[in-house]
Amino acid sequence: MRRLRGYTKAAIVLLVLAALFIVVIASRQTFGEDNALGRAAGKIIAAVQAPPSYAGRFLSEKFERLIEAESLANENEKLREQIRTLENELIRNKLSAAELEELKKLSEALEYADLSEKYSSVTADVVALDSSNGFNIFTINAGTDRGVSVDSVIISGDGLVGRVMSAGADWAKVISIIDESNRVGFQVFRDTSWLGVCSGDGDALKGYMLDGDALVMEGDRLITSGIGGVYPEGIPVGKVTKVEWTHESPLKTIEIEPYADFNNIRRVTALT
Amino acid sequence: MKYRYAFLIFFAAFTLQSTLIRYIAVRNVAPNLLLCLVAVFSFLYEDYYGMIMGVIFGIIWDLSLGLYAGVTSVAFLAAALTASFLKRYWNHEHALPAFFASLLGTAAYVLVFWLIYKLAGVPHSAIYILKRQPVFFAYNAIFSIVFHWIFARSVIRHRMDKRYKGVFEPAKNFRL
Repeated sequence: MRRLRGYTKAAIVLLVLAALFIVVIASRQTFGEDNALGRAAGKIIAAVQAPPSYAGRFLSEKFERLIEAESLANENEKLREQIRTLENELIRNKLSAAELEELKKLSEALEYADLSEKYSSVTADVVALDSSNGFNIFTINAGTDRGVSVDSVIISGDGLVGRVMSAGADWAKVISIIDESNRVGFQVFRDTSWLGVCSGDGDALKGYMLDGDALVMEGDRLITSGIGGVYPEGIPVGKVTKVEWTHESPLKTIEIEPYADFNNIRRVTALT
Repeated sequence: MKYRYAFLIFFAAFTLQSTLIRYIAVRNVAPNLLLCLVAVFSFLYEDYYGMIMGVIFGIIWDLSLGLYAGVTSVAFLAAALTASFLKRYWNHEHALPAFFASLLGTAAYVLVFWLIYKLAGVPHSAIYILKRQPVFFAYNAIFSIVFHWIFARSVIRHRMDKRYKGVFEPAKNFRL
């Protein structure tokens, strides 16, 4: 009888495993498609996670304030806002000054436009984030109701964050640029003719220059190149921290520190 | 322990995992509280709290933050089966076997998790996966020990008893 009971337990475990594998296969086949189960689950989960997320944000903000003096924090925030504005202005000016003539000629072919002209923006809060598995995915509380859709670009005040990989009515799952599956075409801000491609490294970015003669160096700032079609041109990506070049490889590889702080990301903007 | 209490504990871990745990991440690697609970509950209890809650919360986790639904459930099930198997041979009351059981449970989880995702065709490289693991294993082991210390109280009736602690003291009124 005991032996039979042991077989029953094993049979139940096998049945559960089989059912789970069917779920995995079905999920893979319908990945990215809008379905009722996904919508309902996403809605419930977003609602459940919102209060602890706000609580966490509240606590972490209080904690930060305790560490730093409140006035310093406020002043710092103001200065950072100024830097962001100036950097964005600088990027726009640089792009327009250096490439105005070229862009005029190519505008029809490339459909080039300023981000604010071409995209409208939706601000959203990060309600859930996973740092335990290898995937760098987080959930935001804005979805198709507000115009966020698959491949919408997500930015923060600091720079590029990622892109939407699936979306429901009032939620969206975002895969960040530090995930290895996410590739971003970039250009060096100092000379926008130097192009490259980078991908996530778990906590930073690694990439290579398309032109081996590009004189990229540590400290160079990188912005999106617009190549690839997902990320529009001109969004700050990060700063070069290491440049490597060997005779064996024709490509110059670089390490990049992203501008966005992925452990402390709270509010983002979706370009729709 | 009743299943509803186990559900509440897992639910609390789930909300913490998806919200606050990122603040203690090292190089963007945080512990997996749900995995620690699955391993500890499977190692500690005779009932199937770890397995059942692992499957339920694995599905919820995947719908919330995963690529494909079901993968985390299968990986949690692997961790729970590993810990349950080790319970047969190791003393589940002590922290040291619990520590090794959590490490092996984490290993089973990572192996199954990435095996399924690689079969499903994710582009992540072996180096990318492996370089996260030392921090992940260390973090999980620490949290598993803490969870074992907390939940072992309900399993071990007289853990503060000196005989349980291994202190030998002859009986006072012993006569030949």
